[in-house]
Amino acid sequence: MSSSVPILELAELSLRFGGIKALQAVSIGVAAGRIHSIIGPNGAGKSTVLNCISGMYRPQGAIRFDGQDLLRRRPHERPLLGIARTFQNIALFREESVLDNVMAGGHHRLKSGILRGALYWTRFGCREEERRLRDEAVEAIELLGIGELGERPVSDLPFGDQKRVELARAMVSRPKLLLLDEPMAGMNDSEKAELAQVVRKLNREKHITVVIIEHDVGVVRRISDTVTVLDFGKKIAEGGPEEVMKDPAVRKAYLGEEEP
Amino acid sequence: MDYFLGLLINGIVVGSIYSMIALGFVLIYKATEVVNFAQGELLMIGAYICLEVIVTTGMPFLAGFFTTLVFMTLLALAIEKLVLRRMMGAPVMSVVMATIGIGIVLRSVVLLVWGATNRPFPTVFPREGLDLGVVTVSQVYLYAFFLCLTFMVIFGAFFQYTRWGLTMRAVSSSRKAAESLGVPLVRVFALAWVISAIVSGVGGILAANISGLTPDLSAYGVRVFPAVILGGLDSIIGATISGVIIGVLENLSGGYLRNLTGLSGLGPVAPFFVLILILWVRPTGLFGRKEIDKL
Repeated sequence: MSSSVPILELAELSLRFGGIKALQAVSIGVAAGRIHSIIGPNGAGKSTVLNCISGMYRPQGAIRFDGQDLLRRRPHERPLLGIARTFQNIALFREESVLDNVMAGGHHRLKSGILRGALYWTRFGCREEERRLRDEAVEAIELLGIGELGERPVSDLPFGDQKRVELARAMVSRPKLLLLDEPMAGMNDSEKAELAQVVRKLNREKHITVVIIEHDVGVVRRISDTVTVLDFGKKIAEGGPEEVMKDPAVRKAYLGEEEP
Repeated sequence: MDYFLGLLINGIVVGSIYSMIALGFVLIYKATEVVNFAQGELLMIGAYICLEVIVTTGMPFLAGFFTTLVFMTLLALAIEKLVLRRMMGAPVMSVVMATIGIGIVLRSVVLLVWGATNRPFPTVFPREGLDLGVVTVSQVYLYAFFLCLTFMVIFGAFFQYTRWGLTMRAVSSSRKAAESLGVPLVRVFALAWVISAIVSGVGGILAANISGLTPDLSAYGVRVFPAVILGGLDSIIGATISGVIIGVLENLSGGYLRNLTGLSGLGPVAPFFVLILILWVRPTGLFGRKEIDKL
């Protein structure tokens, strides 16, 4: 495992918002087939890193994914390259049903509409293709335990379930790399454990590389292969979860503890 | 009774033009979150281009009409590419300011090229009245009304049934989500501007047909505002219905208040009272989304 090549490489990423240095020369290598957690206090730059990968911010430095220079690609090209993500503050089509939202994840690979279609809201055309997509979407929501909610409009659902819909949508896009921004926010412990199970399953069975931002240290410990710790836009530690949690700098910054 | 019906029909026709322009307004707002203050100027320039094409080349009206639509498409693409694309990611307010600038530039160009005098639009639609039984209506009004209706049905179908239409709805529902799923935002924005410019151009041609052509035609951009707010800034159906409501209101209040008070010119003011009233009691309009300000 330790010899895995990085599928995603962030090199010396720096980004400023006005006077604030959101990221300062952050370099992270994400090995293929791993679950890589990014942790750190609020405002440490975790979501900023994810937003750089998904193309919403344009940092200095370099981002390479699967041999591609990501900084030269537009945000909407990510799904075709095999990158899917979920959002911290949820980005769903609120008026539409759970199933339609999840099916939207497959939009980029519908043959009849690469970069174009939004076939998911119609009953027209490409029935067969759409039927297969629907099956896949149903499978995804069942795996996430929201199978019975398929026809409900997402705006009706509690926060935690909306998070699950986002994850299901990302799954349906069949990514190589899955970016999860606090997917377990608003869930209780048993829900978190279930979702962690799902993430691990996706990782092990579908060989999806996962980059996850999560606050719950217990969850991070259980699912991560590697952990990167950010604080004030800088990387302060990296390594296996146990090793990182013991790091005095991490305890100080992240857990708010003084030297033990 | 005839007086009332006359005003009513007049209102519906002018209102249908409002509806169409309001549709252009709402479209840009929904797709790009920008309130386009150059809408009136787009309409004005459309009318001038059409007039110029017909008069200088002697083309038949229909050819001039379609030439104008082509021109409006190119103009919208140019505005999008030269101004708006460069401002992607800038605060919405800055982009709104930029649209005001675009409006000023377009108006200046018109003044420079064509001057400020009123130019009669060549008679395209017959002006003779058509007897509808209860009331006689000038044919140009009927043409205008049905043309508006046609365009709105076409675009309604476009949003409902085509890929691009659905993609635009996806973007307006959640820009972040749509982009992360592979929708090219830039192209969607450009498309919104193109459609908006086309409906404005058509609206301008019709308005000029009815009331002649001066740079003041750009005032439609402001006059359509009450309709947009009444409908709810982000509702296409709302804009369509409210356009007609505002047109009728404007004409009825204009007609009756003049008799009542002896003051002419109250008509165009009435919708703005409605505008203020709506902002008081129901800021989201009749059909707007509730969380219009939430991101």
